Amino acid sequence: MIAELGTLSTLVIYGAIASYVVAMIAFAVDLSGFGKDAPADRRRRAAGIAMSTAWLGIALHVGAVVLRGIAAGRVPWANMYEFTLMAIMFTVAVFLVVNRRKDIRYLGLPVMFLAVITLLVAITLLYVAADGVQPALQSYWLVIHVSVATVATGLFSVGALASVLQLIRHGDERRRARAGAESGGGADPGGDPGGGPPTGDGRGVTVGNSRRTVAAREQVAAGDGRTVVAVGADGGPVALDLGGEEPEVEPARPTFFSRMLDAFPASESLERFAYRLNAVGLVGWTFVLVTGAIWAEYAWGRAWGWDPKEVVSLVVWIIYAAYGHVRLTTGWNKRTVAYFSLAGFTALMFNYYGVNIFINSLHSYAGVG
Amino acid sequence: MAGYTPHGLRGTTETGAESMSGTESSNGRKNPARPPAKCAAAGNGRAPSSVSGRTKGLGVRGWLRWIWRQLTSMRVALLLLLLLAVVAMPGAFFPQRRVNPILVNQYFEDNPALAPWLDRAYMFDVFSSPWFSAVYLLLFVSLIGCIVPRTKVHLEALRSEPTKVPARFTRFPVRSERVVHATPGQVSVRLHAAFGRRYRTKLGTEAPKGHGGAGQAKASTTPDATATSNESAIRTISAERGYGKETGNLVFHLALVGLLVVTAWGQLVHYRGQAMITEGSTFVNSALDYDFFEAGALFGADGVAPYRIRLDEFVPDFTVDAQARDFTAFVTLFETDGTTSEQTIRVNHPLTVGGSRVYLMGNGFAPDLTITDASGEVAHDGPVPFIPADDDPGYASTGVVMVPDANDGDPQVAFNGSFLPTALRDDDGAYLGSAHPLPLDPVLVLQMYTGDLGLDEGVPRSLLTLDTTDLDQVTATGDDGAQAPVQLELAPGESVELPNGHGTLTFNDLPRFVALDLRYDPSPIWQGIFATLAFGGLIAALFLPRRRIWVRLVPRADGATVVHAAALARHDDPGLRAELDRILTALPPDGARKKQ
Repeated sequence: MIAELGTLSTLVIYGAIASYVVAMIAFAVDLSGFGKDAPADRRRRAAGIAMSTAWLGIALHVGAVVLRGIAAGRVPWANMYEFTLMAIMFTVAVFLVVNRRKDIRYLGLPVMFLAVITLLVAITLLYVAADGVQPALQSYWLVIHVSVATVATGLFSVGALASVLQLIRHGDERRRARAGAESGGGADPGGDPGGGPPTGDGRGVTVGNSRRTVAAREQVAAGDGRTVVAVGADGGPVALDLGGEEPEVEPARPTFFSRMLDAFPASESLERFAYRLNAVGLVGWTFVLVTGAIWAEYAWGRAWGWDPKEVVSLVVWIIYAAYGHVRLTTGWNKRTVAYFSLAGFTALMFNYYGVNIFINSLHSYAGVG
Repeated sequence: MAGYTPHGLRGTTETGAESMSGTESSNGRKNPARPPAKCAAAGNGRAPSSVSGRTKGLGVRGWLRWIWRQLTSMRVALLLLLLLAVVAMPGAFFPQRRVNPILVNQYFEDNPALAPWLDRAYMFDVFSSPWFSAVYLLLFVSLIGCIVPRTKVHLEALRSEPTKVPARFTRFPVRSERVVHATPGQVSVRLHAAFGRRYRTKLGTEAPKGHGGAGQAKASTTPDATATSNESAIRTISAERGYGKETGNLVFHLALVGLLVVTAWGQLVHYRGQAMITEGSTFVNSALDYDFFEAGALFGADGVAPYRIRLDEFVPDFTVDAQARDFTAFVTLFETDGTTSEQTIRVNHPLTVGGSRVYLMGNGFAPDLTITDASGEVAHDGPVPFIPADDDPGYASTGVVMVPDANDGDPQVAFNGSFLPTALRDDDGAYLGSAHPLPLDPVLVLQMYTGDLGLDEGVPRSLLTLDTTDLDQVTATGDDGAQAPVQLELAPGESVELPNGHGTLTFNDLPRFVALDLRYDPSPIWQGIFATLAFGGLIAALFLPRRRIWVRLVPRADGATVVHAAALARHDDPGLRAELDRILTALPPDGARKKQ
């Protein structure tokens, strides 16, 4: 009976993966500008389908984790397979919960992609049957320490995805600013061209039509070099005076990629979002370090012993602490801030996969390799 | 590269993290009397380029000052922080002596050419290496050099009043303007109440000449005090909240220093010992009775309370597929005041005696052996711990039996070999290992040596591995006529004749042993206090909003009041607009409303 629950849990995880795959495809359709020329509500219909399947996915996911816990007769986060399940569950949960307060559906595709890939890795490479745990893990600190670690990992994951988008967006905005400068006047260099959802930063809400306006501006493919005709937001021709300057470089054409980027908010807004997630993640990770030290004091007779897992966890904390300092000190480029965020996430991933599998550590509870 | 500044604030003074708590005169210039703490305010910490020029001819003092300024700059502090992460990483890649000396020896065997060079670079002692120590000490010096001046500034700020109301509100992105049909005095009272206790407020008046110019401000602390003054005067309110943000920030950093200090203190006064005791035997908490003992520099040997612990029984619990589920050591504790008590020691549940803790760190079997020598004298009698191999669920263990007293020392006798709790044999009867940690089919498999054990030379010898340099392995003629090493195999209760008339070996019983770690360290409670402070401080520093709201109330000829309000936050504050709106909802809803 109990063993069957474990098998059932695995089946339900397959169901969750399937839901996430459907959500991923729907998010991709949403982002790809499938309905570029269609009314806005049709575009959002793909996103709506994606959100529904993502909620279905996480419902199955939570169910699988609960079944796993019942099958093992303990909290379901005691080995690498279970930890991965939990971390991805919280990654998706962070995305879904934040999305209830502010529209971050643009993150759906990367979040679902990460979820599908990681769950497939978990189920093919990390799987172990549900069972009890060794004496060292029999402590309520397992409940506290490890669960917060999975939540923090989920927060850092979404934060890192936002940082990646921010960097992509930075490059895009710089290209646009250049193109805008070359085409003279019209464009606002370094401005906020995104037609994305309102960012709630109190700095004005982007107009719904600006997506098209930007695209139109990009179509300033100069024919005679002085006056170009572009298609305005209303579909009519718009004349732009180029101010007598010959454009030296042909401005970027609206590619599939650039259209997709239009769905994302401005890099500044993405950066702020990433910071908020990472700040909460940093607090969580601090909690993980402190509770880990308390547990180690009881289990191993020392609070801090420079075990490889402890070393790399500290390195993760240091990088995110440095990220916080860079973020809160003026004078730093926001791209640099994003690189710090990604460096922290890289260290986090190494701490998880690298240390667990390749390095002899007291934390080698993976049950694999 | 110019950094990001809040929209609309480019070129103003309100860009630095610290500048919010710096004073600002009403005409928008920074008050030069109080420079902000540089580690936070100097942008990204880049020292002004003129500094290097100025240091010429400044002599030793000038250089020291320059070095101190560099060290306490945010840029260098960040560099040291990242450097700490970098220099810590080898500690994860290479085995560390203090963590796992066996793995270090293994590394030396596997990489005989590389290992000595790595060793010279302290790669096996990263966390006590000079370069690691240098980085973290410099980092903490930098941190203290930064935090102490900031603490002073903050303590002053806590005592001082909110800043003066800026002359122009137009440069603040979050601002409001509306007209209220009430006198400035009435509006002032309402707003003052709306700010509530979270805000520290200062009320003032300005001369009405060209409102917006810097009038001679009068300040008072209560709205009533100015209520009687001329109703044509412009009233101002300066409100500030979130001092806890900087308090949290400082508490966080100071708690990290505290954490380092108490950890160092713990290292100085601590002691730690390891001992293996078998069922039925007693161990005395004394440096002499430990197999391994270390103590800090300030440790006094008389500080060890000589209590005793007797291991009555060790009860493990394994699943059928050899997974450990529980370990319990039942012990009797004899304390120094004469009290005796029955106690248990389990993994995750150490035994606390006085200020020290006793941890259950390992367990195994200690076959009880009696060995007689060639003359029939008993040369050895007692249990010998056999150490289970790491990560072997079946507890296949290895051990050494040394009998220095055999034959009056000439020759001495020794055995090494394995103990298998549940012997696993191939078809020819050769031993493959152990199938289960419980003694379902226990076998002791030994090789025998004679010669000089070298115990009298004063060189420390491991009791767990046999140095066979001066020993000869005992052989016998096999079935095929060739000499072959003798292998002795015994189950509990069995006795064998040793070859060549060397005597007998009897396997009496199979008690278990436990490895106990005993540690005295008074620092964990303090570490816990400082870690909690750091955690709380971090939350306050990251999430408490730091806000300033200024209001200027300009009376209009028709008796109404024009309310100008502006808000500024340190760092991003998505709730700033909502906060300003919340304050202004305290005003009567009439009047034209203009929001920018």
